[in-house]
Amino acid sequence: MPDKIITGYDGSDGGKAALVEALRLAKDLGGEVLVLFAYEKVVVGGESHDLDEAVEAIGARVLAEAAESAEGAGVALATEYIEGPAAQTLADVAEREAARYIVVGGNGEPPLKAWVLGSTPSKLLALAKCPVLVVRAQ
Amino acid sequence: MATQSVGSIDQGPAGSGPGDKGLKSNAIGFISGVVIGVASTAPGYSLAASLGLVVAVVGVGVHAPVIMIAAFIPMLLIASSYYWMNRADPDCGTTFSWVTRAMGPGLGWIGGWAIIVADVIVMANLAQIAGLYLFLLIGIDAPSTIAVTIVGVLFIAAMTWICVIGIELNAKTQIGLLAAELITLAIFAVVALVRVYAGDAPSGSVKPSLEWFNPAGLGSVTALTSGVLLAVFIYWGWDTTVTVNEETEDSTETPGRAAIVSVFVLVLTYVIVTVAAIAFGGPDRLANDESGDVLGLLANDVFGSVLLGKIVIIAVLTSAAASCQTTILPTARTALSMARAKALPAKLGEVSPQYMTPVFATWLMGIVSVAWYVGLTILSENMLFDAIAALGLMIAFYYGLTGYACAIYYRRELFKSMRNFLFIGLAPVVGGLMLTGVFVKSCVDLADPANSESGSSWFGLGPPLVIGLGFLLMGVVLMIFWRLAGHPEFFGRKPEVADPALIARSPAGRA
Repeated sequence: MPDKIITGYDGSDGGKAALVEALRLAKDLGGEVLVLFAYEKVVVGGESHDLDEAVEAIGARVLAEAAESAEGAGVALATEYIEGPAAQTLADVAEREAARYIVVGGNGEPPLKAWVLGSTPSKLLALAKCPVLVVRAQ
Repeated sequence: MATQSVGSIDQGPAGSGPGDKGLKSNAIGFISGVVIGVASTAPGYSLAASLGLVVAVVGVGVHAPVIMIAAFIPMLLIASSYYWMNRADPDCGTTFSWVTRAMGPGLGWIGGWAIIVADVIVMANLAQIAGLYLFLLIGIDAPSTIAVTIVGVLFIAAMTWICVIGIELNAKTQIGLLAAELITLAIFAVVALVRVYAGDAPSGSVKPSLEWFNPAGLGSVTALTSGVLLAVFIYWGWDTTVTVNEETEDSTETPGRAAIVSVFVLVLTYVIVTVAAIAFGGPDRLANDESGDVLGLLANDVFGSVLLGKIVIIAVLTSAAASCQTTILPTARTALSMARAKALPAKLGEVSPQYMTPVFATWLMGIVSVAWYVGLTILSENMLFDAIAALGLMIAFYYGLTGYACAIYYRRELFKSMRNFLFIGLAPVVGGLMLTGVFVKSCVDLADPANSESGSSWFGLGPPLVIGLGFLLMGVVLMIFWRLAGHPEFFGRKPEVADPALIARSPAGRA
């Protein structure tokens, strides 16, 4: 069974750098890439149906971008839109897929939000059972 | 949704594509449902903002507990319409979307406008309470208006920014904060009552009596409607428990139970704290308090300790922060929903790919709120009262409209079973009639400026009436402009009727 590389992708520069690295890694290992777009619904403030739909549209667009940018890389790639907090979801999917690595961007989140809530990479270090590779955007 | 296959990826129970909303993946439990319902209502802030005002209504006084219970009845009845309409159309536009479906785009637009306006109006009150209590926290009892206003503006800005970048407290943090808020209010009430019965309370205190719960003790119908107009606000927000129903673990049972339990938590909290505050402070002290921070000032006396008193102040502040978030988020979402239905400019419907929030609508809400808050502070002699009373008019208007919309939308189903008739027809309509009654009677009363708290007069009318009707008229004018600019996708919509299948199937079947 080929090695699986999981990467989180949100269209940000950090996410793009992570995707590039994930594809290189998969190519070197003869593995395949699963690109995730994770979104946690907001439970406060009542009904959020329209907002969720708008985010799903963004997720679908961003994932299509990721798939497109991987064309010609010679690596098998799948995408998945999934609901849940980013770090926990990446760790869960990595476990489900028995992934070899998780690759994430080092600076995908707005700095202040990361400062208040913690960044996805630092949370992943605690949650993931497989090695985590953090790539900074250039 | 593999775009390039890597064999079969087992999506597991948590997996979902855009078509399947993956409801189970972030299911919220019964306790979280109750917490979200109660936290959205913000009991600490609601009491701080309205207790003194309700007691001050001529003829209410010690009978405030009756008002607290009376205001809850129409809210409960209207919540039934929220439950059924949300089942038909889970849309962040709520009243906007539902009234458009049931009664056509004109009324629907005005309903949506009323929600947005109500949220903006309450921001002035929220900012003011947050400003006052922040000064109380650092030991300044009578800060200048300018200082409070500056802090209030900063509070709105900070809360808007938090909503823009999408920081939400997770369920566990919310449970913790809410528990702290309720326990603080409970300790406040118990200590106050013990000291009253021990004869240890300051002069002016009175022992509670059953007579306080006697509706006949209210001086007049005006006392009832004026009190309820102020008090509907304290329950405003718990309907969100009903609209998050499909996310809950067992969606046929949990949302109903969570909503009911959260209502009882609220009624109990309000009645107990009201009784305790009146007993300890005496009705005159509560009614004559000009500062608007009655709970904070009482807290110091009740505990006889500044440090313990500060715990109540912190509870009110966290409650105000939660309330601010549950005000800004739904407003931005209502605007988003209206924009997506082509009822407002498309810019308001944009969701930022960076933050996954409606950034433009959220900032606009913050900016308009600041402008309104500063403007009202300059114009009004008693802005806390004016804001809450005008808000009461808005809530009565759009909740009432939602009640009627529910019965109209489901009209062909109402006589098919007793349950349908009672919960989808009768309850919403009776709730709507009660709120319409409060709205009309309040309009008549507020037309005489002497009946308003400060007695001040704008154009010969009470300020809350000018604010309430002024905003509604502004809405009509804006809607006419928007209509003249075209937008047939929205204005060409015809009223619809409920699909009978909505009643037969369980809400879980919607996914």
